[in-house]
Amino acid sequence: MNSKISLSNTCRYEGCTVTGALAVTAFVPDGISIVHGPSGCTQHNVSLLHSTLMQHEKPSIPRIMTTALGEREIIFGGESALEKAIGIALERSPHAIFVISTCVAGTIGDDINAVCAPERDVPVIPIDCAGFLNGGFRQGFVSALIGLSTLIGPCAPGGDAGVNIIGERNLEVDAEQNFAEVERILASLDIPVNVRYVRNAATADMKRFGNAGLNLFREDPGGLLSRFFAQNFSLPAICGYPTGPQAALDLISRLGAIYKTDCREALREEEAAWEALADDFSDLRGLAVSLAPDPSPADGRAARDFTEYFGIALSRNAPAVPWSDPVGIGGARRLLRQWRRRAHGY
Amino acid sequence: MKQIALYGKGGIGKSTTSANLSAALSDTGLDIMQIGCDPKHDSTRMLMHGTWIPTVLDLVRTRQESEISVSDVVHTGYNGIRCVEAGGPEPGIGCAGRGIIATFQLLERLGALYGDVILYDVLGDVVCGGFAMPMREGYAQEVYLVTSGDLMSLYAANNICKAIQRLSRRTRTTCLLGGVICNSANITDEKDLVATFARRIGSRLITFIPRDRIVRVAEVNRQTVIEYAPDSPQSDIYRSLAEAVYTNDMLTIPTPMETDELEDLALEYV
Repeated sequence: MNSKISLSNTCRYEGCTVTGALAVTAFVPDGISIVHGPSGCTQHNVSLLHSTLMQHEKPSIPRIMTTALGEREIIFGGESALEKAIGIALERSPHAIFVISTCVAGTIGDDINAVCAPERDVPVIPIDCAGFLNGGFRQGFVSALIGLSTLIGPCAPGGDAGVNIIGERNLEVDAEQNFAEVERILASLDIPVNVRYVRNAATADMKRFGNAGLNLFREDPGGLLSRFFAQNFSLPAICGYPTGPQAALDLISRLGAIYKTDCREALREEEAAWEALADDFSDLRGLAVSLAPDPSPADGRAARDFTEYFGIALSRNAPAVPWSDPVGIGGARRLLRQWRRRAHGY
Repeated sequence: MKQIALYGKGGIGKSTTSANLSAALSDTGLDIMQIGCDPKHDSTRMLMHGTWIPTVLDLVRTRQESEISVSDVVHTGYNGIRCVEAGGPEPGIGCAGRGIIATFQLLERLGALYGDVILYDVLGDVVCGGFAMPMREGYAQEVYLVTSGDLMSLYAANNICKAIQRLSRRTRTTCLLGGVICNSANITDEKDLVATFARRIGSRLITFIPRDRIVRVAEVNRQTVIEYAPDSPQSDIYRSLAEAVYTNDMLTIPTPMETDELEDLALEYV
């Protein structure tokens, strides 16, 4: 979730905290998300999720409710409306309820933590985003991942049930392909995936979280997530999906070290696969491109290494090609195909 | 129609002053409406002989707006004065400022805002945009600051000046400062101190109201001083205040003091 400044004064990838939180909670299939705010906040987000999931060829709409705050609740407080909405959600038999606050609820000072606190049949988890008051999409996303950690069961020290994948970008089109790349690399060392936290993971799945031997973060801007999970779950961690051959080889080496596995064969196979990919796209050698959007400072190094590996020059004045930190060989192949279409028209 | 608003620090005596001012104006034959803009909803209590009238927001909370009529929100008190209390949420929840805005919108829709003088009695300080509502949208054209010589009270009055100054720059706002009312706290040289403060902010002391036991006696008898002791010197003072306010044509955009300057002023009178 890199933030690119657009021509206006908005950030391309920085939406509302509520969208960020829903990008996590809506992917718990047996949960219900309640957006505590005006109905419009929910409508906008449900529309966004619906159209995004349609792109992913998953036409189902996640279970999201609104407390439908109006002027009356703004004046007198919206806590009763939230209690009522929780009651309605409980009647629909979810295994967990997530309460996400909007700017209106934050502005009038509704105490969602207090409303969620009483013990109920299922966990009711507050995610106090307070809309724009607590930042942007990224903060909402991180708050939800941290909030949902109350569903995680106790840790089994020395667990070897595989790797937890944390913080997948659920709204990106390539989410599944990117996951498949990581899964492929893990499989090359016979390491299974334990829990996808949180992508289509039921609440019961999350209880297995502590059985893992490693947490692999999709990304961890500012180190917030890795710090939180290190403090609370004491598992080794690797941050970031791999972009480019070197990052993929580094990931294999680190996995080998953590799992004390001989990874030489996996490294050889990976290296050969990247070389084969470079051969497939040898027609791009000598091409000069500029990247759009500009990679963030964190991605800049990866972008340079990536283009260099394929013999492509980066030049500000060259024709622009899309850049989206491609994950693994699959991501690289999809990106290079786009570049080829731009360069050669096929 | 003259619309005035009284602002000042909490507990300074705005409601007592407002009620007596309304009563004194009403005695001259004017049609008066007083609107309490404070969740405490005690502005009009003395005009209503101790009765707590239902607030606008109490009604909004329990009924559909279409079911609320003028007679539900406007209650007739002393000498035909029409009394309204905005009310507010329970302490510690919701947004009282938005409640004031909703009250004004409802009164507008009901066509309840009329008379020779409408007096808005507004809570302690302009804590948010909602409590600036009486100064906005062409409601109160004149604001009167109620203060004593106490530094914190002057500080609050000075803050209100900042709101008036800010709002007076807007083309849709016609609100200006009408003057300063000193409701005495028995501080030495208080009248001079408050008069100097008024001059420094580009206004004037409209009336000095001395502290008098009769105010408390009238209150425990659930009446304004004007009604309970019409012949008392204190009633004469409220009447002179009424005349000064009603005939006042010296309205200014205030120039708030810097905090240091204000503290230096208070120090001069210690």
